[in-house]
Amino acid sequence: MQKYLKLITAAIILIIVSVLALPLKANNNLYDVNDDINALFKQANQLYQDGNYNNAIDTYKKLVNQGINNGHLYYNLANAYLKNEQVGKAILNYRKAELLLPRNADIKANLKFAREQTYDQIATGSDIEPVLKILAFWYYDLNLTEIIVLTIVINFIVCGILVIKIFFKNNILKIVAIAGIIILVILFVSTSIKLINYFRITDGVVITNQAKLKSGHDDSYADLDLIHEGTEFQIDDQKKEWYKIKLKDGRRGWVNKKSIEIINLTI
Amino acid sequence: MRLIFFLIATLILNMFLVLPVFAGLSASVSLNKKTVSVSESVTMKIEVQGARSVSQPQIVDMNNFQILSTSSSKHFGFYNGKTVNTTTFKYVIVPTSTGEFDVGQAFINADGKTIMVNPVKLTVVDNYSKGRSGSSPPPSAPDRYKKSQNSLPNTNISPADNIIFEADVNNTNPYLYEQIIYTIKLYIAKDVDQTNLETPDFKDFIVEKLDQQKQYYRFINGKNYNVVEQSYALFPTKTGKITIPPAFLTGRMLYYNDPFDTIFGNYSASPVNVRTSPVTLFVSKLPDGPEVFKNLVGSFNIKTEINKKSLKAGESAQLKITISGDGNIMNITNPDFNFTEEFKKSFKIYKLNPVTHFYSKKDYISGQRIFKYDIVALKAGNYIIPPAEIAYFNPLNKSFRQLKSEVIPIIVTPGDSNEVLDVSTNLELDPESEISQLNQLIDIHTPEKPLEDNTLSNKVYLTLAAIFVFPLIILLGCFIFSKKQEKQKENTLEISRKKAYKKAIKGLKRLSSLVKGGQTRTFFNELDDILKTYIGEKLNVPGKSLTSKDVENLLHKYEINSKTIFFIVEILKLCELSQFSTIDKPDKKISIAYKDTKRILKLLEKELKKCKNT
Repeated sequence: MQKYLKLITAAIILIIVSVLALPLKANNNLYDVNDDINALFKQANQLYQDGNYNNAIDTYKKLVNQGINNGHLYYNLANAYLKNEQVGKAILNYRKAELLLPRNADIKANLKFAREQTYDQIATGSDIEPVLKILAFWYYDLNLTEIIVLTIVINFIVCGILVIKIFFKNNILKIVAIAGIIILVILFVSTSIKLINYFRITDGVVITNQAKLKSGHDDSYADLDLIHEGTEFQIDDQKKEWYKIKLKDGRRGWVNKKSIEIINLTI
Repeated sequence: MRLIFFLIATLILNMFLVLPVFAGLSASVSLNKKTVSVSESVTMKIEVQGARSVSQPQIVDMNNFQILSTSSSKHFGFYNGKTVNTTTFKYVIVPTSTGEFDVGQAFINADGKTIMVNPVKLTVVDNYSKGRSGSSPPPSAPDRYKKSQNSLPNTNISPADNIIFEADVNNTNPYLYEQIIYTIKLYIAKDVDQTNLETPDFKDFIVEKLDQQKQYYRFINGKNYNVVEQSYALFPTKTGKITIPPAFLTGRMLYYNDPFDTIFGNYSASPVNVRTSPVTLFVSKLPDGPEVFKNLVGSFNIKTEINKKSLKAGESAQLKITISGDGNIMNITNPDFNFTEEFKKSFKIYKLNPVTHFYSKKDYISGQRIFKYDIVALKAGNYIIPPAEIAYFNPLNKSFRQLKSEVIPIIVTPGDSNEVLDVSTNLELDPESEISQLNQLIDIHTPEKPLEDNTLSNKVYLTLAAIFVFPLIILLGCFIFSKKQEKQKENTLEISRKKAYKKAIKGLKRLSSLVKGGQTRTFFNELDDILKTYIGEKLNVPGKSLTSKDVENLLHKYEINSKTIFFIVEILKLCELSQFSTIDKPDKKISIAYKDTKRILKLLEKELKKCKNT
């Protein structure tokens, strides 16, 4: 019995140490960035600093097209778009940057600034969101990778406590284990929602000067309203060339795919 | 009786099933009009007679027509003693170009045979070249409408006489960004329902819909029309010739034969499909204006207010600039303030969200855009907030006008402490609100670290999922291991419980050699041991330490027959007695005790097996 316990404890310690070391190892293996990419990024930044925003946009886009999903890259691209008076694409890229760097104050400030430049100043219909942002801070303040790693670490800790509890009956251990399970369940649900939203098409931005909000998914349907560049919305449904959208003030309708872009890093 | 019923049934069946097969198969196409104008609807009917099963017609060459609706119906009829099936396909079509067309040529699969329908001629003329009577447009806008002329089989009234649809602008030569009003007017003399209005694509304009929809009556050519007007404020965003495409209206016009029909809902309906004429504008470019001119066209006012004119260092005040007027409000950008360098060093300035309000007036849109700034005083002193400056072009007198807001003096007294001010904590703002510095975009990021991909690949997601599952597997393994250990412990007890009887009987057999040996003390000592071990193993208690009283209580707890308990206790008492005193007639007592023990053990084993607690 003693022998088994020693073996299990040793295995748990080994696993926890391996997991804690994993992000570092993953960084080294997965994010093997070559010099060309950095040179291109520096070149794009220089073009931006020189006021050559069109070329800066093209260079940043080259990096994005190479599959580099980086918060700073999207942020810089958004800045270049905003300087180029393309507020829709600027908001789109700030939102993408926010997905990767959710706690970055610069992104929040510039996104706010870009939103102020939009024609449709649509007030948010929901009062719950600010409260939710405080109550479920881990969901809003952590990006997908961070929340996954946190869930895994908590999972290891909780499982370790439960293993100890199996062999040593103790009331304090029982309370700690229950609290750990509750935290783990909350984190697991949050991670699942974040993961689903990451791969799903949920939000979009108008990128053309204006877009017609139609009553159906065809040009023959009646116009409900006009929305303008930079207007953000949720996506409810899609059919062929049309998306069914919901604006922040609750208005709904169909818009043509040509007028909008989706805020998603997997597309 | 049964025979008569059978004959009648067969006759009816023959009429419906057999006769139609022999009826002649024919198909034809017909139109309700021979000559129509573009955008006027025509009803086309394709009738197939003599077939029970008819597929949807494959109509040939309808490129010059738009099919608005299709429907089909089936009829049974008796003609000259024969049953004839008639299938009718009805199409409402609208020509899209002028000319003479062959329409209705179609191929139909009827009862497995393919038949061809010969086309009929339809002449499509340009709008209003037919010279119809009673369809003249209202005198106010004679050239800007088109009408539909859907005739009805049961009435003499055509929809064209009852509907006029037109669009107009109040100014066909506006300046860039000048407000013009585009109005769609619908004149209807009959009830119309299921209406669907499709507004034009205002792609070269910024559009604001005027809230109020006007409704009034107008008497034209002896007919009373209900007129509905909807207006839109348009702001052209490019110069030169711009054409606003037509607006479309579809729906149904309802016809009642007498006043009671409206009560009982009896009506006939015909489709309505009308459109307005395109409207062409010539947009002039704006003349060169002053430096502060930022494409504002119309008539505007500017007003500046501040909520505190005296504040301590570290405190904040709110500056509000309201620009109102009846032009392109949405194009108003942040007004220019010529802040001095000293002012910029002495105040931290934060811009808040501008707010725009539109007010829909009778014939135009006016509004206001409010800019708010939170200014935080950093240093004591007397300062002046310079005037905000805007310029606009007034298209009425074709001149520019520059406006300046009032100069606002502001006094900053020293703060309560001489500590370095932390503006973010002193700022009287909603903590949730995010702020950005005046007219400043935070610069791009130039991270020192190499540019990395912040997302994870599918392989990494799978690895992380495996890592997540790993401790759960370990936990499950430990749980199973612990349960197995418990079970093993239970099994040991269970085995000894099951073997207890056999063991006791074996022990008794061993004792049989002592029955006639005269070793009284040894016999009873052994017997006591056998009995207590048996009870202990059976009831999972340490048997050897039990007294006769303990055994009695224990067996009572397991609801063992009291007689059995009595005999066991008696034997145990005898065993105990033999340890401390001499027994009379020991041989006899040994023999009785041996036999009784054997019997009692058998009884107890039976009773314990029945007992659920064990």
